[in-house]
Amino acid sequence: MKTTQLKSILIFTFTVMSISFAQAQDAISKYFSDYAANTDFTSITVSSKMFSLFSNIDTEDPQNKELLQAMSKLNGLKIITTEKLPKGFDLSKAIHRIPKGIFEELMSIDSPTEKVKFLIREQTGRVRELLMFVGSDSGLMIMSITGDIDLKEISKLSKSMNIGGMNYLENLDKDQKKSTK
Amino acid sequence: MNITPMDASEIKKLEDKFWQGKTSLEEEKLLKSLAQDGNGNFSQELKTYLLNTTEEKKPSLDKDFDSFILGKVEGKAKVRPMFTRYDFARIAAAIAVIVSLAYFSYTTLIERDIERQTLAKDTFDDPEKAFEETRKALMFAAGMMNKGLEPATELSKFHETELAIQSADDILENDTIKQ
Repeated sequence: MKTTQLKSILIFTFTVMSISFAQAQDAISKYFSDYAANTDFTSITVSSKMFSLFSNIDTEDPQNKELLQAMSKLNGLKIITTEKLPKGFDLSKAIHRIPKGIFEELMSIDSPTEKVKFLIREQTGRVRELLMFVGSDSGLMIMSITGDIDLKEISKLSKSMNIGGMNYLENLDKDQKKSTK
Repeated sequence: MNITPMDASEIKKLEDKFWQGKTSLEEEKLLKSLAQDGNGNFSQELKTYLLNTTEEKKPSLDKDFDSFILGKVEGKAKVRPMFTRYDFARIAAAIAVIVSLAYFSYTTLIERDIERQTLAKDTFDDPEKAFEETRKALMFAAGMMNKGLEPATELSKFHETELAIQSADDILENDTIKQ
């Protein structure tokens, strides 16, 4: 085979792969910026630096101690919420923007009142990111938790104190929320 | 060549002539055929020599050379296949290198993106407020997770109850047998 033919094949393969990888990479980073730009959405960001400061919090409450233990392995939290869904917004389409090869579905809840989807990104057998989509007629919430995530540990947290469904949106202290845009 | 019966003296003469290097090609062939048939009454030395010497192979050109020359002459040199096994191996190796590099760069990009996200500007300046919000978010996520796991938990409880009933039945049955 001629060297030029070989070069063409290699350049083509590399281009196709670069485009697909670039698209996949963009999907997750564009996600938050798209919604953060919308005034109907409220975003919350807790950085890794802030997570490291949690270790200085003194608490006697055993539940908070348990929470701090769970949070010690986390390094990022991002939440985007809205009580006013944009016109023509489709939760399934929003979920489809997440790169499939990187994230896999953990579980989903499909009830008449709300739709919930959990997606995880694993690396070397550990869960590195947990994405949660909660959609209903009254609102939408997308949450991303990053770090070394122990799903069992997180699941244990709410056994005694469960905040169900979209009530979470009501529980958010609106005075504390500010857009990151 | 016609081989006529030869007496011992004739053969001896021919042998002497051979060693003197005066035999013709035909006479040499005659000696060789006599040696092969075992008829020649000549010395063992000559017999061994004749039987062990073979005709030198004439150098010849193989068919590939002919077709190559003919192809060149006619301007139609033999066409090489488009992809040889070696080419496939080269392509596979190159693709493997590209895929590995791309995967490595991609995972690095993802990591950097996540790092960038996590280093993004905090919504809260006060760690306690940030903790409170994170607590609520984690509780909510945990609540949702447990809600999703409820059917599995119910099934597991059902299975446990079924097993308990089964073991109680077995105990009762054993007691009845003993009585």
